[in-house]
Amino acid sequence: MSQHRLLARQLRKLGLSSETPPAADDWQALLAVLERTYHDFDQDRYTLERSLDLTSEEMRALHQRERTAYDARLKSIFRSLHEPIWLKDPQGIYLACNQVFEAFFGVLESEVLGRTDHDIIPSDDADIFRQHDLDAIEQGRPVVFEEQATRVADGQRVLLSTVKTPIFDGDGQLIGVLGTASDITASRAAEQSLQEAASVFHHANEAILITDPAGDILDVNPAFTEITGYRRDEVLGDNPRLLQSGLHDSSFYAALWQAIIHEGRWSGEIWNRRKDGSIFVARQTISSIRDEAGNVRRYVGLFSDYTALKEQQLELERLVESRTQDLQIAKEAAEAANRAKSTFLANMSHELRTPISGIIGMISLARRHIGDPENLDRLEKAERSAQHLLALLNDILDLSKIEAEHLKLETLPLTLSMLAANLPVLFGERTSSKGLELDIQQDPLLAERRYLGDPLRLGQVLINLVGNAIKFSEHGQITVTSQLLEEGSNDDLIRFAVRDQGIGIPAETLPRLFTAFEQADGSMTRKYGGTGLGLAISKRLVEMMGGRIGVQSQPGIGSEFWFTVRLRHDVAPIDTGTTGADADAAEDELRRNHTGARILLAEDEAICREVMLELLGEIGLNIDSASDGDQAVKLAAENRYDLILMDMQMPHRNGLDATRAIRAAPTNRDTPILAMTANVFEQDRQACLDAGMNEHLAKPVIPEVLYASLLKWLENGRSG
Amino acid sequence: MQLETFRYTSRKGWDRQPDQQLDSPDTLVLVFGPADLNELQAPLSALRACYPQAVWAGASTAGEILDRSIDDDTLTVAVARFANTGLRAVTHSLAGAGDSYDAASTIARQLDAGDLRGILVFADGLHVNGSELARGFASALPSGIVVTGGLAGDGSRFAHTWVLGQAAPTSGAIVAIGFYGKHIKLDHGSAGGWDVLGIERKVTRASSNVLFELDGQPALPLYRKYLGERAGDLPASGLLFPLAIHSGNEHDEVTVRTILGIDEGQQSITFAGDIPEGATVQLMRANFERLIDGAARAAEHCHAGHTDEPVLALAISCVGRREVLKERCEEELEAVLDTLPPSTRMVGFYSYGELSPLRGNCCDLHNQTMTLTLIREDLA
Repeated sequence: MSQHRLLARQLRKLGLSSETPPAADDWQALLAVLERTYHDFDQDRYTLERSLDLTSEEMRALHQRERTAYDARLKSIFRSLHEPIWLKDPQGIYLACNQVFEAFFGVLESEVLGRTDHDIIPSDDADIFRQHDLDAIEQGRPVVFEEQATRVADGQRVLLSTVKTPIFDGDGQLIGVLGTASDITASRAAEQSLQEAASVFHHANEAILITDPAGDILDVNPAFTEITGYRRDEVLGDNPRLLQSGLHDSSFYAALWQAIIHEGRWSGEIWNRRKDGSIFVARQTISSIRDEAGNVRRYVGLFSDYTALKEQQLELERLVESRTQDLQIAKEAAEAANRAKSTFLANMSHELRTPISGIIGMISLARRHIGDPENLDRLEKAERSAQHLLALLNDILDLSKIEAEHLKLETLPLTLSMLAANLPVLFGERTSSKGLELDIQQDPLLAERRYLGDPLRLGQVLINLVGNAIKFSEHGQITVTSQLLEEGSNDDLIRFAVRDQGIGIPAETLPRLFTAFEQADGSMTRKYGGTGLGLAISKRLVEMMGGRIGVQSQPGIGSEFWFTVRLRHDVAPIDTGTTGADADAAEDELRRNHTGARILLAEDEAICREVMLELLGEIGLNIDSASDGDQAVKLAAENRYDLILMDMQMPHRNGLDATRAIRAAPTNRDTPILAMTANVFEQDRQACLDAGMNEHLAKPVIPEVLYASLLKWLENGRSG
Repeated sequence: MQLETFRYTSRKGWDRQPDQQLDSPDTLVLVFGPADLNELQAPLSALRACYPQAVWAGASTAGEILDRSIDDDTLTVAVARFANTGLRAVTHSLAGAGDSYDAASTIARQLDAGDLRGILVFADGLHVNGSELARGFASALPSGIVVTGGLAGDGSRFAHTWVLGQAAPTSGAIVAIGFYGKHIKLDHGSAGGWDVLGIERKVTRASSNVLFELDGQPALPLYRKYLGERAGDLPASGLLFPLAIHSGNEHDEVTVRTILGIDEGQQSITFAGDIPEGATVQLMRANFERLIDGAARAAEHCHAGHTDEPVLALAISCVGRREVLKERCEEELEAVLDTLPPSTRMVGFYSYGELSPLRGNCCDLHNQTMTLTLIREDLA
C-alpha cells in the first residue's frame, strides 16, 4: 500500500518507520500530529465552506442590485424615448412597453404585461403585428415594416414605420422582439403631395422652368419643350435668356427683375424665341421662392404660348375700337339730335307762345276799352279760343318736355291747404254757374303739415282732375279729399281723390283714359272742351313724383279719380308767396306809391311790347323801351332805372348777354332786372339767375303776376 | 564561494559546529530567529564571536527555514565566504512608517557605488511601509540592480520584530547588504498561488497602508464575517484572506496585500503595503496546489541552471502561506529544492512581506509569496 506522501513525511520527521511500531513518546508525537492535522482539516473545511456561502450570497445580492439598476436604467431609457417602444417574448407576450406606447394604445403597461396583442387591439391588426414579429424572428435581424394602427385618443388610423428587432441574451438565446414605431402618416402624405406636385409639373399644359438663385436652369417640364422646341437636356444649366427674342429693350428686363426683387413676382407678356428661331408671345409669370431666412432658393417661370390668343386679342381690340368710334358718332348724333329737339322745343315754345300771348294780350287790352256787349262777347269768345289754344300749346309742350325728360320737378315748401286753396279761386265761378258744389275736405292736422315738393305740378294735377270733374258733371257735388296713407320718418304717402257725380266713364274706355291723344272719344273734346291731354300729363307728372294714378267710375253715377304721391317732410318754415287775391292790391299800391318810377322795357316783339307798355302805363310808370339787346344796354348805360324788364329772345344781343353787360356797367348794377320769357325750362330760369337777373316772369305775362313782381322789386329798391 | 548552513535549537543545540575558518571581511552571515530570542541570546553571542570580521544580516521570523524544514524558536544560520565579491552593510533606524521611502533612498545612496550588483534588505515587519520602502529603492537606484529581502516577522503574534546588522537585534530598523563586483550572481523568483474570491469591492477610505472602509462600510467587520468563529484569531487568521488590489491595466494584474494588524477602535486593518483609496479590491483565498506549484515556479524563475557550485538559496516566504499550509508547509520547501540544483543550501524565514524585483522595477513589495534569491559567485 502506498503511503500518502504527507504521512510518509510526518513519519520521517518523527523518525518513525511504518513497519516498526513507535515508542510511546513517538506515538504521542504522532498522535499529536494527527490531531493537529484533523483539526486543521476541519478548520480549512469550515473556512472554505464559509467563504463559499458568503461569496455566493454576496454575488447573488450584487447580481440582484445590478439587475435592478440595469432594469431601472433600461426603464428610464424606455420611458424617455418619445416614440412607442415595446418588448414581446417569442410567444408574443408583452414584457415591457413605454408610456408613449401606453398613450397611443390607451393602455397601462401593467395591463399589457403578460398579455398579447390580441388582448389589446383589434384582431386584424394583431394578426399582422404577430406575423411581422415572427418574420423578424425568422430573419434574426431588425426588419422594417409598415403597419396601420388605430390611435386610441382620437380614433385616427395612422401609418407607422415599425422596426422589429429580435433580441438575444449573452448566450444567443432569443429573449423576444423589440419594437419601435415612427408615425409616418404625415410624411407619407407629404410624399404623396410631392408626387402629385411632380405629376402636375410633368403634365401641365403651361411650360414650367425652375432655376437656381443664379438663374441656371434646374428643370423644365415637357410643355416647355413643346412650346420652345428645346429638350430638357439641352437647357439644363443654361440661363433662360436663351429664349430672349431681342424684341424687348433692356429696360423691359430691368423692370421685370425689379418687380421680382421687390414684389416676389412678375406677370406679363413677353416675346420669346423658339429653338427654331421663330418668335412667339408668352403670357408669363416669374416668381421667386424664398426659404425661411428670406433668401431666394429658386426662380419659377410659368408661361403659355399666347401667340394665337394675342392675335385674337388684337383683332378684338381693333373691333372694339371701331365699334366705339361708331358708337361715339352715334352718341354724338343722338346728342345733337336731342339738343336740336330741345332747341326746337324751346324755340317752338317761344315762337308759338309769343303770338298767342300777343293775341291774348291784345284782346285783354281791347276788352278794357270796349263797352258794347256784342263786340265784348266776340272778344270774350276770341279770348277763350286763344286761351284754349294757349292751354293746348302748354299741354303739348308739357307733354313733350316730359317725354323728352326735360321736365324737372321743383323742391319747394308746400302744404296741402296751400294746394287746395287755389281750387275754389280757380273754379268757384264755374262750379256755381253749373249748379255744382265744390267740397274740399281736409284733415286740419294734415293740411298744415309742411312738405317739400313741386306745388305747381301738384296743383296742375289737382286742377286737371277737378276741371275734368266739373266738365263732366251736370249736377251734384265735387269732393276733393286728401288722406294720409303712410306716415314715414322722412316722407308721407298722401292719397288725393276727386269724386264727382257726373256722367261717369264706361268700363271699356277706362284703359285708354290716361294715354295721350285718346280722349274717351273725340266727341268728348268737342262737347266738353279741353285739350284731351290733361290726364296723360297728370299721369306722367304723378309718376314722376313717384306716385300712381287711377280711376273708379260708374256711368250715370259718377267717377272718382285718385292719385298718390310721396311728399318729403319739410322743417323749414314756409314762405308763402302772394296769392292772386293780393293782385289788385298790388296794382293799386303801385299806382299809389310808385308812379313815375323809371322802367326800362327790352322787348323786340312789337305786339308784346305794346301790351307791356299799356299795362305798365296804366299804373303810371315811366317807360323807356328798347327793341333789342344792344339798345337795352345802351339805354342802361346812359340812364339809371328803378327796374328793367328784359325779354330773353332778342336779336343782336339776347336777354342774358344784355343783362350781363348791364350788370358789368356801374349805372344799373344793382337795378332789379326781371326776365320775361316763354321758356319755362328749369335750366333757363337758372341761366337767368346766373346772368344776374333777379326774377323771371313767364310769358304770356299775367298782369297780376307782373304787378306783384313790380311792387315787390320797386318796394325793395325803395327800402334797400 | 564557500557555504555552510546550520541551526541551533534549545533542545539539541547546534546541529553543526560553526566553522570559524569561514570568517573574513568578505564573509556574509545570515541569521534568523524568533522575535523573542530569550535563551537564544547566548548562542547568538557565541556565533557573533565566531565570525567577528563578517558582515552580518538577520531578521526575526514567523518561522525559520533550513532546507526542507521549518521550525520555530531556532537560530537558523547561513555563512558564505565570497572569493571575489565585496560586501558592505548599512543599518538605518526608521523615524516612523512614513519614513520608509526616505529611509530606502538613504540606504540606496549609501550603498550605491560603482560595481554594486544587488542589495539584500531586511526591514522591521510592523513599522515599515513595505511598498514605500520598495519605491524608495526603485527611485534611488539605477536599473539593473537587484534588491531582494523581506520584512521581519513575529510568528502570528504581530507584536514586535527585529532586524540585525553589525549591531544587536533592533526593532524599527532596516539592515541592507550591498554586493559588489562582477562575479556575484543574484537570481530571484517570486510566485503566489492565491485566487480572487467573490465580488469586487471599492476602497472608499484608506490611508497609506491602513484600510478603513470598503464600499462605504467599515473593513474589519467584513473580515470578521468571513472568518466567522476564527475571527477571534485576528490578525493572524486574517492571513487567510489577503487583499487583491486590481491595477486596472490591460493585463488586469493584481497586487496582493497581507494583513499585519487590526485596530478595533478604528475598525481598520493594517496591511504590509499601501492600499490606494478608490482602488478596486477583492478578497483572496489560497489554492493549496497552486501555493505549492507557486513555490516551484519561483524556483524555476531563478533560472539556476545546472551547477555543482555551491548555491545559497534565500527563501523568504509569507506568513500567510504558513498559516494556510500549516503542516504541509514544508511541501513548498520541497517543491523549491526539487527544482533547484542539488548543491543548493537553503535558509530563510516566514516573513511579513517579501521584497523582490518585478516587472522591470528593481524592487517591489510582495505579499503571500514564496520569494527566492539565489546567491552564488560566478568565478569564470
